Amino acid sequence: MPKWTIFDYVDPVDGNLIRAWTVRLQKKERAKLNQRLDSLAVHGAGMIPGIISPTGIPSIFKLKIRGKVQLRPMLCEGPGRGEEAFTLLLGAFEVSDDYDPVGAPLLASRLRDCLIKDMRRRVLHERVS
Amino acid sequence: MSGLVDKLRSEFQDEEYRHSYAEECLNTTIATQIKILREQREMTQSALAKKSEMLQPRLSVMENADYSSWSISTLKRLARAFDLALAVKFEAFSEVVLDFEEMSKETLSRPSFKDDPMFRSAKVKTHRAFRRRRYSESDRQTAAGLQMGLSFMGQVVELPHPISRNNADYSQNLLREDSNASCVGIAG
Repeated sequence: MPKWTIFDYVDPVDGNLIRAWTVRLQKKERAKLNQRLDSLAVHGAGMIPGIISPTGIPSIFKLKIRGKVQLRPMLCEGPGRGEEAFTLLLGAFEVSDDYDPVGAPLLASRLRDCLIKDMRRRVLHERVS
Repeated sequence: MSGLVDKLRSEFQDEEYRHSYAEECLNTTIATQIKILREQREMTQSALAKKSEMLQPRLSVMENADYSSWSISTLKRLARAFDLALAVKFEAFSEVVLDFEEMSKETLSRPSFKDDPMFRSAKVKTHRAFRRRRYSESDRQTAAGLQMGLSFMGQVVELPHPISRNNADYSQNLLREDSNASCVGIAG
């Protein structure tokens, strides 16, 4: 049974951009993404090596999902204190050793700051299959 | 009942989806088991790399959920280094999902030949139950509540006899259960 809760960051104007980003992915990519998110929900970050990777920006991690398109969704642990949760902050790709959108980890860090100020800016992860 | 299975029941009706999902399960499971087996044997990546005749950076890449370029020959070399047999088999999707959900340090650890209880004691006879599935303590508690049947995807699966694959417990259980022929493995 899932032990960790996965949330999506919600923009006050544009709504759930994680969902919007996921909807645009190919079915195969969505399957891989969902498997990784299920792994996080069931096992957390400590069991599977490399399930999340650091980005160089404090508290911001990425999922690395290989394929024709390199998925690099940005996420953070929590950010509520002591909660067993991850929050997906920003959908991103890696193209030619750079992120799309450019500076994705920094953007994600700003979204995390916004979320910490207002924890209503997230919803339970909306799965797209 | 498996929450993950509930979530996947409708998604897996799509062929491309289920194959992609299962492929990721395979990649993450192998990477995790290599790390767990290495740590079980208190080996560094460098020591394992040397023993399996590969470079440490390559091993480091393989011990990562992101790696997907597995080859049987590389896995055979790792099996040799761990003093384990390599088993490659085709599996039903239901088994893949349940295995993945139950994955833990205990379910992925394996004894080297010298610690393999089957070959350590003449008292131990072939025990089919011990060649079957591994359930952790929490799984057993869940299973106990479900009595003898676990309905999954329209099939009824017999629950296994509670067994820990922790090496010490495994060995003790094996010796203890030697005289008890009532062990039940997953029907299959």
